Amino acid sequence: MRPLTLLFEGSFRERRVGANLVLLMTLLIYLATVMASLAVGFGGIAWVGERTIQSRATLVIPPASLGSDGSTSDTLPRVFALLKADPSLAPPRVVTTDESRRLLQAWGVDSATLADAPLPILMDLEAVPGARLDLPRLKQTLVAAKITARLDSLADTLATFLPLLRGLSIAALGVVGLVLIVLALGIAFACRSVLTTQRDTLEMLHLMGADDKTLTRLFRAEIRKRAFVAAGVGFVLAAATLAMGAMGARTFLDISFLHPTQDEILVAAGLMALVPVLAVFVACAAARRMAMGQLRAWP
Amino acid sequence: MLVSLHNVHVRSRTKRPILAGITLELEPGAFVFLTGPSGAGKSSLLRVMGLALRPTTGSITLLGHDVATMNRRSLSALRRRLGFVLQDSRLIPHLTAIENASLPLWLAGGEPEAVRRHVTELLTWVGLGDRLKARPAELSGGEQQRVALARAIVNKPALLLADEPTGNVDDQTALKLLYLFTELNKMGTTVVIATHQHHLVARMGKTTLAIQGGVLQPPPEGS
Ligand SMILES: Nc1ncnc2c1ncn2[C@@H]1O[C@H](COP(=O)(O)OP(=O)(O)O)[C@@H](O)[C@H]1O
Ligand SMILES: [Mg+2]
Repeated sequence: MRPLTLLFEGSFRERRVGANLVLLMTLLIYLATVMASLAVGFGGIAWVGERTIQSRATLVIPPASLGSDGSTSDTLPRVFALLKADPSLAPPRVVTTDESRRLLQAWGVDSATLADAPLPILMDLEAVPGARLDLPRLKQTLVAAKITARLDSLADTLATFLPLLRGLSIAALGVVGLVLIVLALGIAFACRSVLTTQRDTLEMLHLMGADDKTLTRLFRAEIRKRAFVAAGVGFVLAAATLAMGAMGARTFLDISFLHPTQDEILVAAGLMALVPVLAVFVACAAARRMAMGQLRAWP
Repeated sequence: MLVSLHNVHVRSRTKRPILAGITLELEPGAFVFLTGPSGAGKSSLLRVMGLALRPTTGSITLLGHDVATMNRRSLSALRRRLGFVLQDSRLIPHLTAIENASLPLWLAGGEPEAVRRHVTELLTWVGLGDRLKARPAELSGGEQQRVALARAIVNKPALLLADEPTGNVDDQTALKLLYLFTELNKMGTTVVIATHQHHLVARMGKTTLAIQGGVLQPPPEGS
């Protein structure tokens, strides 16, 4: 004998309401998940960018200040000594010539120009964990030591992008919100149509003494079952779509010196996975509300 | 008194009177026909007694409970002690006869095996022992009503209310169905049947309450 949970099963099979609901929910959950990932992606890049701006800079020592023969100058050791003396700095890293070439190429400088030009020496500076770079003070120190060098902060280039990224993130988040509202409305309308066609049955159940809670729970279970399917399929589709975009995002992050930490990547993935769960919750809440509302019409 | 209605009024949304001052008492074990032309208020009165329609004014005492003071939850609980049969059987199409008749017990959280045994017995009693697995579409109108009757009495209700239970079946089938009601009544169930089929009522020889325009009519002289 079949359990009570199948009470509304047939109502959802009629006119393929159930199947269409799964389709609708899958599409919306897919859309919401992709949009949420964009929101998290843009927001995350802005976040990492902000952090990077505050903790990283590149010291550019032009070829001229190294001496024309390239061997006699004591500039490099002096720079190292100065930087080591600064407690807020991690040990600096000299970017190799190959690396510099690659980076410049990635930024679009053509290889012919690169081959001829004498390259500056680049040094990556990074604050010790938890500290910020104090660029003006660093500049003063260099000037005082009479070292000709330029401090490139990522701030100059990135800072202009950050507000744009934040804006895009918020816009994407807004779309997620809208999609969830559409989901709630869609479920509510579908439920109302099912409940209306099942009016006589519901009245009979009501007369039998089925209380609102029980009926609502049974009705919501039908929606939840389908929402879980939709959430699973929608999430997998979204993940597949995003995997394709991830390659591009990675290259962008690399050439922008943005390196999200393992934890930050996990948080971003978690936020993305949260969307289908939230969608299931929204769908169930909409179904519950609609069922409760209709049942309350009876004394 | 099992049922006691005092000066019950029901008005439609447009304030038209549907029931106009019904006062009525039913003792345990009564068997009553409620008759009257279409639109007289039979269904409405039955629904008031079955807690399916809230009166605009007036008081109802049902199985010892003053209905006005009860909340939704306890109203549901009280409904589980009533049985209802309607003109259309309102069976759930994708459930079998035994599943349909088991619904009230499932809703009350009955133990599945005990429910199955009890409902099988009951369906056998109404003459459907060999149609347990049939779906409503595979049953005749009379058979459907017998499943509906089994579903209505599966909770062993103190009060069984039937609204035109024989409205959709031929007279032969109707009489067989009414016979089941009298059997139940003999076992102690109070029965109220609303019907406009006077010729059937006449053959049963039971108490008859006539209603007209939402008002109970005095019994005819000499009865
Ligand atoms: N929900 C309702 N809203 C408005 N009028 C109703 C409603 N239900 C019944 N009526 C009216 O109340 C009167 C009595 O109806 P009803 O109790 O169904 O009578 P009967 O069962 O004797 O045919 C009829 O005139 C009917 O039109
Ligand atoms: Mg009627």
